Amino acid sequence: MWIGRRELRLWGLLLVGIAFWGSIVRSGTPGEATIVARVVESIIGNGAFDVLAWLTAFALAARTPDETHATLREIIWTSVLGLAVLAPARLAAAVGAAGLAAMFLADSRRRAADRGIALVLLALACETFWLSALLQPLHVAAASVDAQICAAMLDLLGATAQAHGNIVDNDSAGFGIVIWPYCTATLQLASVGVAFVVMLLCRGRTPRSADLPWLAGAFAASIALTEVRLTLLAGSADRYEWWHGASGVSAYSMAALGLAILFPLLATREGRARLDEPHARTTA
Amino acid sequence: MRAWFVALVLLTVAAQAVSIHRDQGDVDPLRTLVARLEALGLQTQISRGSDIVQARESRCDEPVLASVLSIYGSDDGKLSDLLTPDRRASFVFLGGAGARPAPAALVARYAWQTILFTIGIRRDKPSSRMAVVTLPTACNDLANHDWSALSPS
Repeated sequence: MWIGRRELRLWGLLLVGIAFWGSIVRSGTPGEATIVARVVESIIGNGAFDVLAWLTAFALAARTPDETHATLREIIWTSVLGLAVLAPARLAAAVGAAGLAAMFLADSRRRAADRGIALVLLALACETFWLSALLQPLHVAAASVDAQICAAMLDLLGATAQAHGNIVDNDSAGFGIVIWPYCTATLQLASVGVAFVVMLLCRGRTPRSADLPWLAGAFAASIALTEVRLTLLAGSADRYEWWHGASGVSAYSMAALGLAILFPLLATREGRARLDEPHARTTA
Repeated sequence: MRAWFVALVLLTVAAQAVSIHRDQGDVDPLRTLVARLEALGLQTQISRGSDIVQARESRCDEPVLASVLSIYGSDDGKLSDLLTPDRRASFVFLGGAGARPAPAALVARYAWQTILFTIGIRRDKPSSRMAVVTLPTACNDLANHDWSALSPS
């Protein structure tokens, strides 16, 4: 009747993982592609760090010592989460990930790896919520702030620019841009958080509170990069064409990827705590 | 216990597949846009590999350009192909048309219609896509068409 703790954790991750990727496929553009093509396209399009996050969670869970049985409470909790993610709402996956994270956190005093899995799941839950339709009004409001910053930066560069809501008019160039929710500086922050947690774990370190200044730095750098990009886009029609085209998007993506990797690397320069070791609080 | 979790995984996969199928909405919004432009009496043409529709009316030499875009701006690159200085734009969404893109209003209306759909007052799921149509300023008569009929939902 009973199953091992490791097996139960893998079942839990599998259930929430299916719901997570299912919700991403659902929110994509249907088109005429087959379901398999849509799944592959959604996984690739959603970014490497989400894929890496799930692989990391599974890899850490697979290293759970299997000599202990799962408790009845853990079995019931995992089953409840498995039933909860059946709800046809994108946020069901976020609730499932957060619920599973709570289970791992409850056990994290014994293994630092459990805390790592919990933080990955929490980061993924936050990302799902951050990108949901519920928070789009926030990103629209952020777009207005982006427009103000963009206009101010253009003024600093000697151009005459004005912001009206989410529109930046560069009067000097006779050109303007519309900042959509998808282009705002805030939209990427949750993905930066996922990348930060995953990179720390891949470097063999469990995230800890001392890493928060580095996470804040990663957020600030991501926002600054987006503001620079928007300013370049609003510079002129020619600049817009280049920065919005394949070359410009590649350059921006490479810069964003570089920053996403840089800050976790800086945070792990010294003082690594190995994931296999017990959590520091239990040994102090 | 293992059989229970295998069943739960299979159930989750099935639920996701059903949900993906049900939430598809308009599978080919561009084809729907073409049909609606033709219903307005325009002759349409789509270049190979493009998702911008050229629609012509006998009284105007220049074509009307139209396409379907996300209200979140994920494919806003198309806008620069549609918007040129000699054209007047109309952003059509949820049955209304506006001359300027207003993401705040679009997202707020979409959120409201989604709530109405969720509680069962609205029957069909609202689309998060809008139609953008640009008219050559040289042909004033084109403005007389009811462009709101191009609304994706």
